[in-house]
Amino acid sequence: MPHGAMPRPSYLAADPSIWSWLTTTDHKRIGVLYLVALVGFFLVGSIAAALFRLELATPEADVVSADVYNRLFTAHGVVMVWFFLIPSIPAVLGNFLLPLMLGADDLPFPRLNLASWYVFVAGGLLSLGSILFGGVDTGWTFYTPYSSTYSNSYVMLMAAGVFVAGFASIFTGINFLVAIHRLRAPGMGWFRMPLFAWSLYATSLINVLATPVLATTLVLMVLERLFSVGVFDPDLGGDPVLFQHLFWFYSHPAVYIMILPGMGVVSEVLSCFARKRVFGYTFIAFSSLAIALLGFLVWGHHMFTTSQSVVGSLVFSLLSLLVAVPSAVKVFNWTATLWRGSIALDTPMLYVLGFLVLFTVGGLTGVMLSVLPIDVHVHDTYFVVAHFHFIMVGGMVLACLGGLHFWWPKITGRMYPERLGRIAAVAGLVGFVITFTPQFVAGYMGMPRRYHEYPDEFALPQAVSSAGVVVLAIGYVLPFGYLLWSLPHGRPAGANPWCATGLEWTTPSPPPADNFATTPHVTEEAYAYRADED
Amino acid sequence: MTALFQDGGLRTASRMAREVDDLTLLGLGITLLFGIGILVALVAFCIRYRRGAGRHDPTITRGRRLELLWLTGPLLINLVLFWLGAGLFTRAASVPADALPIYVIGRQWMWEIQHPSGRAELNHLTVPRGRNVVLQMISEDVIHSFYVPALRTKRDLYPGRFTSLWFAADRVGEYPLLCAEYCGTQHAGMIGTVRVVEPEEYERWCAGAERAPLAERGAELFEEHGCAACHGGADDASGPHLRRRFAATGSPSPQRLLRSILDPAAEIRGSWPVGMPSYRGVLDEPEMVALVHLLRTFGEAD
Ligand SMILES: [Cu+2]
Ligand SMILES: [Cu+2]
Repeated sequence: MPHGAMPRPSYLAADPSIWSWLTTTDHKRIGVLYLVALVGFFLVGSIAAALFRLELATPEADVVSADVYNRLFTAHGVVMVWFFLIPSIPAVLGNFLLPLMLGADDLPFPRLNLASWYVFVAGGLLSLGSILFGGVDTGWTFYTPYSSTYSNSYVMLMAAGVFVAGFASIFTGINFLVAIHRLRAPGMGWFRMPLFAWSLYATSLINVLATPVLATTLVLMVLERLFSVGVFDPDLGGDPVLFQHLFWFYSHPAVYIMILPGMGVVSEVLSCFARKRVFGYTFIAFSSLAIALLGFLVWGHHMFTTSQSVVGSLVFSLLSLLVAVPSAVKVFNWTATLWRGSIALDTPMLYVLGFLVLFTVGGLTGVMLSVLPIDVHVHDTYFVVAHFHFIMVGGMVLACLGGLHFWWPKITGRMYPERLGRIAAVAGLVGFVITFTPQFVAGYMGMPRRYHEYPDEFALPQAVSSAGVVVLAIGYVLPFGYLLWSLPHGRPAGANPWCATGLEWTTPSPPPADNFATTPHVTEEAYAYRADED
Repeated sequence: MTALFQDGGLRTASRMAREVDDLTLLGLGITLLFGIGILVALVAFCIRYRRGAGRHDPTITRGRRLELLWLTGPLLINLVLFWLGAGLFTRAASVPADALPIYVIGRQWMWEIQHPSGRAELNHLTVPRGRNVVLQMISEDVIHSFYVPALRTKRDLYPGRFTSLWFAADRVGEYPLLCAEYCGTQHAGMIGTVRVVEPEEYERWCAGAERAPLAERGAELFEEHGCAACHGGADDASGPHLRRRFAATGSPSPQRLLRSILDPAAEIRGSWPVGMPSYRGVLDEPEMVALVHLLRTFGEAD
């Protein structure tokens, strides 16, 4: 730590004008810009969900019409997937923390980084525009020929929004990959990196390799819709199943884009609050890569009920069951990290413990779904809806909130009220379980997805599910309130309130604009926690 | 809507459905075992190793043997699950030769069912109990999915292509039929019933057909659209005599037959003086069904 050096203004204090924020190339400010944008999108996606859960509280169609319902679940899916979950941890926490964790001044391409935010916002505005003009009713999956020929809604605008936002993922991905290769501080070998950096590396690989396939697919769909170029519509000589292959070739790996960064957060938080190095560091690091690569080979498990060949389905089933193994090992390793730890149950830790349980259930129901005959029965039912919400919300959103609480003192220099934090974490967890567990039941009983009204036999699980939303909402609204409150009123955090390892904690909070006064030298493994003093 | 689901809950109408349930129970058991196991371990550790408990030992950072154990354990479990699933799936995918064909046409937002007898239904499917039934399904517009929870099975329908689904219902009763693939505004309204009746009742019911049998309608189309000119066995015909050929070799699958009609260049083997024109846009789906059914009957031994 530089003593007696000139006091350096924090990145927040440097130049507070709006213009300076909007033209910043500081990775920390870009992370904060992303945070602001993502809170907005999360709000939009959540309101859509709240409205259709209200509709689903009773079997009859009594709140909105079928067409409005279809637009609501499409808006929820598109916004949550592309404008919240995919950017979430990488674009906010990754942007803010990766250079700090590596001991670097900034990402290698700061202007590209700023461009990614603008591209993202532009894509988001196109999508919001299509929602405001009247919405899209294709579902977030855009299946053809419904999307390319039949739907009378603003498909083109929505597709354009997703297409444009894809470039933001690619830009961020390139920045992270190059940063990890080139900007690690002296002494920080690959296996001294925090596992969060490993998870961002794996995520970025997928972002860079898979996003172009989605972009191509959307362009083909638009060409068919605009100019009747026959690609997916059989009347034009195309093949609708081809769309599904291309779509899932991106969108299955995208599931890992959405969960790997969460796994990175889990490793950081768990080791800090157990005061132990993550059990089996090497394995966790490699399993991120294994998941990223194997994740490219399992897209066909979304297509067991299509005309996909039997052999194809068998292979995809086997590979899907294999890709579950590295995730299972991660869960065991994380659990073992707690063994002989010195565990404190602060808010970030509560979120991460919740992640572990819900991710385990989400993963194991994913294993069930990889078993062919089970999938054939529950495919496109609420069972699948419950499964992926356990991964996306129970996993990623909890990890995201956990990470946000963990690094909030670093980002803002302020502590949030701890007691409220714990209440919110527990409310989020309980609300989630009430909302999504009954959907497994409804799904196995045979209730298909995307029904705005439904037979009475599904009334009980659906009503419980809708009731859970109320509790879940507390878990989201509370942090929004007290985190904002903490900005002016929170107790100053100090450089390292959690006594965590990691270079980001060696800077003042909030960090100075240029991060480190002198380039740090790394002399230890990651997570070198010492034994308790007492 | 309530009437469709009188006794509520999930009912079971085939042996395969029960086998799916067995697999699910196994999967659920594994999920609960590990889910609860992890939960218990987390809670126990959080209590036993709480800060200040004096049991902290940060030197424990890896255990190769343990890791190997929990790598191979899930691997083996998953391989067993794959094996069990693959067996059942493969059986469910191979249509028995004696299966009774029934045709399903999906359109926004209804199910049209055509029986070989000429009997047709809307949003109801009547099948004989205990008999292997194969549904040959096609969509007129977007993708739909024919889903019968009581049979624990579903299959997507596509425009311009036949997909098939076979089952043997073994319990008389009425079971919900749902559309599982999102297909637009009234997706939730694209529901009906599968009615499983005794075989004799099915025969009686079929005898009440108000239209000509499917193969007869197919034969009319065979003449009307000029198929017979090339495929009827004339001396100067510019195509194979289909009745004779299929009697010898058996008929190709409905999907291959349909492809030969809609996209002849992709399916036709051998050299014939004149290429066959495509009938895409010429035949509507009910006509495709009738024609394909006729061609299928050519292959039945009589
Ligand atoms: Cu997938
Ligand atoms: Cu439908």
